[in-house]
Amino acid sequence: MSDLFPSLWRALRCCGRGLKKSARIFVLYLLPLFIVIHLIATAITGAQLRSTIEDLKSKGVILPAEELIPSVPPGEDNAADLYLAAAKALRLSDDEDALLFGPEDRDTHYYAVARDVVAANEEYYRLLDEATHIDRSAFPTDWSASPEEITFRHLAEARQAARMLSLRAYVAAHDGRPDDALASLQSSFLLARHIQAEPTIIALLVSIAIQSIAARGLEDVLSDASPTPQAAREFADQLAATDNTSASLFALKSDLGLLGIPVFEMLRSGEMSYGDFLESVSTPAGSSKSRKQTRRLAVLGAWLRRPLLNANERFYLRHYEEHIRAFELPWPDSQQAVDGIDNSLPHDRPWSFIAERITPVLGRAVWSRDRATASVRAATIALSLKAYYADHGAYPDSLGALEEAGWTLPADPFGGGPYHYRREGDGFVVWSIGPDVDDDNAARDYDAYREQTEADREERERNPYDYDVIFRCSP
Amino acid sequence: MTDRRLYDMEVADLERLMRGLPRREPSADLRRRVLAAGAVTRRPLAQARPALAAAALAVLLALDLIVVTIQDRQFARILPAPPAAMVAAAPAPDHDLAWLRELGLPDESVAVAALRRQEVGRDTYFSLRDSLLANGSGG
Repeated sequence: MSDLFPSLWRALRCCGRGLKKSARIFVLYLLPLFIVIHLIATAITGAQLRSTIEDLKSKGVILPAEELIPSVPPGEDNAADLYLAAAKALRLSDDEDALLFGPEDRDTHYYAVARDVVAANEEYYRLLDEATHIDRSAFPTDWSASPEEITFRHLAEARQAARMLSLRAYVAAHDGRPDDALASLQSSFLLARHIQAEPTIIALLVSIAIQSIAARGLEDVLSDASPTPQAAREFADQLAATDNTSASLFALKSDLGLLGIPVFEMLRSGEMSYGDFLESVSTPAGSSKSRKQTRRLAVLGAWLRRPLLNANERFYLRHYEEHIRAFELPWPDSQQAVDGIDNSLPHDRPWSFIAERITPVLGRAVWSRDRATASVRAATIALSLKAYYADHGAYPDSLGALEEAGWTLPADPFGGGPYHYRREGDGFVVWSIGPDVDDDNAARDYDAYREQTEADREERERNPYDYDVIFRCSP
Repeated sequence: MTDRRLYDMEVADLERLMRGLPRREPSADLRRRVLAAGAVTRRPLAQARPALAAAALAVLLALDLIVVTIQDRQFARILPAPPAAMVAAAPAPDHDLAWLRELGLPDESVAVAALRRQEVGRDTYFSLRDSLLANGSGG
């Protein structure tokens, strides 16, 4: 017992000497070594990122904000103000909404309710018509805000406006006013054009949805009534100007320049913390390590993570450039390229950790875009056929007759070939061969296909491209 | 040394003498003076080492911060923020999420779930975009 305290004291002194030595090693060797490594890594990754940004700017992938943000026109020259006013003027109960936009079959009761809704929303439609005929539209958006704080309610209202315009078109066609019906659907396509001017991928997707709604409405209207040749020609000319490829490239570049790159800037400046960033993005599926890595990264300071941030931003830019290049390709090369890019995105790598959370998975976007284009082009040909019918009293035997009559026919976005056509009863059917680039002779319609049974839906999951894009006019 | 003196020596001293060692321990005073003289010659290096290390660390850190600051300025120059004139006053985020359904998203979709979990009306751009890309926006 008498030897216990001296032994303990000697042990403590040994520990003290050990600690002092390890602290000395840390301060004299490890810390400087770490700072030197950090310094070199920051310099190298920064130089690489700078050269990547300069390269992408010269290629037109990164555009200046002035080219992406729509300038807000003054007062009454801005259609957006009228759209917002129209949304406030809308009178539509939940029951009416369910009745009007639920069933495919339209009976007498449907048209009675629809007429009431159209009559009750005279002011709403007046504002919409006025807005769609104004050239420019810019919704008030603070593009300097965090991506989380940008609101998109107006896009939902625009989609609802497209359905309301289709509703008015159905009523007009049913009541024997086909030109009014076409005018209502024309407003929908003009609305889609305004939405495409919004610099986000969300706006692109909504504009594509509006085009699909309007094209389906046109299919129903042309089955129900025959417009005058002038109205049909004017509408066809408007549709021919639709350019979803350019719109999609603009949306991708805007998403990159206005929403993706600023995330890195905010992380770099400390304006957004890692914690805020990780809360605002979803965790990629199948990433088991991500939560742990998330916490580990969240505690690192802005200075410490600088080389990783540079490497992530460079990875993000290069990955996005590949997406933009893929969107410029014709179908099916575009789809194959996009799928390859999506599949090559790594999981939880330090140099891509942030990039993989904000890079969009665009596998379905290129397909949605080209399907909408196929519908719009089929609608253009259908309007030509209606005009031909009004002039000649019958539909032509082939689309060649339309070209002889002076119409310019668009190419099928799926495969680049001509559209297919046949007369069917008192009407006709025009179709694109669809994303499988295989002619199913208009036997499998995507829109009908998706309304079928559970078994049909499962088959669609297995063969998502196995159908034609069809415009059927069956009086 | 005379025989008499050798005779008078202690055995231990005699042994030390034979090994060539000093007969006695140096006095405490001598030992302090010798140690002090040694300490004076070693002090500059021993004291300078931590000071040099601290200075080197500070220089390295400053260099690193300079590189980071220069990078910030370079990136701000090549990627300028939107001009203030182009930033419109946006409407305040709202708490009613019913419009998400009108956008074409099913209730169970990621965006709806994410926004409900946040319990505020903030629209999360990336989750909304990804949900629309995954589900399509209908049509």
